[in-house]
Amino acid sequence: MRVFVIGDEETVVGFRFAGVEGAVVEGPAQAAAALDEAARRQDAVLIIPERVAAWIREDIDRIRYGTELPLIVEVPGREGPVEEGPSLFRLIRQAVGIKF
Amino acid sequence: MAQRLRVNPTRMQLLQLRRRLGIALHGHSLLKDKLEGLVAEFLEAVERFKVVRRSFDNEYPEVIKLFVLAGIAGSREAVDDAITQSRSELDLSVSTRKVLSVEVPSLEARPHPGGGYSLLDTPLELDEATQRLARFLPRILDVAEIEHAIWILMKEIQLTRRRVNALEYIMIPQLRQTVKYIQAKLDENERANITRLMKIKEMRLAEERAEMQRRRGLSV
Repeated sequence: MRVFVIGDEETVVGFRFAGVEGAVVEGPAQAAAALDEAARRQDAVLIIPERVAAWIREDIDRIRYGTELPLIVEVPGREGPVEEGPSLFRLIRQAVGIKF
Repeated sequence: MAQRLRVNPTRMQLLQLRRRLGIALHGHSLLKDKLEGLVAEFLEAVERFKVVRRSFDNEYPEVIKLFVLAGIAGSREAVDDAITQSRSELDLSVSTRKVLSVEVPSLEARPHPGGGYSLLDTPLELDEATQRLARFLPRILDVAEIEHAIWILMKEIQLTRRRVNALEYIMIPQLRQTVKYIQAKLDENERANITRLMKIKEMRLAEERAEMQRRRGLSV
């Protein structure tokens, strides 16, 4: 089982030092392809910067809803957390109707 | 008003339906307990998530910034070389933990630090960044674990809630209605039977009386 990063170059290079492989993506199409591949490989954890995650929001949600693995963590970019807050809260609001 | 089931109103069916109703009620109360437990677990996980996530969100940009600094301080080639040389690996084991018959994942990292890289031509900042990230990595896994657990709990809550509602608002009223219907029908039959018996008895008594009178008339 392994951890995999899909993101911009900085993030990917950074994680390489911690022993985490990654794919550098520069656009939604590349990101979606990388995500599909990672899901097929059964990677255990995917680390995706929020900015990249926003491109492939639907695919991510589909994986989260449908399959056991991979677990997807959205990390804030270098700029810090995106305004809307962690995407999980958005999902909780949608699914359970409880607001945090 | 719930639709009653289409069954023959027989005593056999009545017994069967009563048993099913009992099971449904029992299941309903069990599921309701489960739902309560899940929601409690869920809220706890969300609380924990909020704390972990907040500190994670604050720390992460700092860690990444270190790499940017390292990139500025050192040449591109030196950093790339360092990556190739260090070749550290991270192995992950995934196990599951059971919460109220729901399986949530639990991650454990086993880092294999690879060989070091040349300290001569890489910037000092790189060392710091690497170390910081290695320490930070378990935190990412924590976040992944909690987030996924919340996600699974959420799905389970939705499912359980649907089941509870189906039992509460459809299955149980339907069974109750049907039991009531069969009971009424059987009672009705019973009353019809009694009336019939009474009528027959009356007729036979009248017959007997007539017979007796006829005999008396003959003997006189």
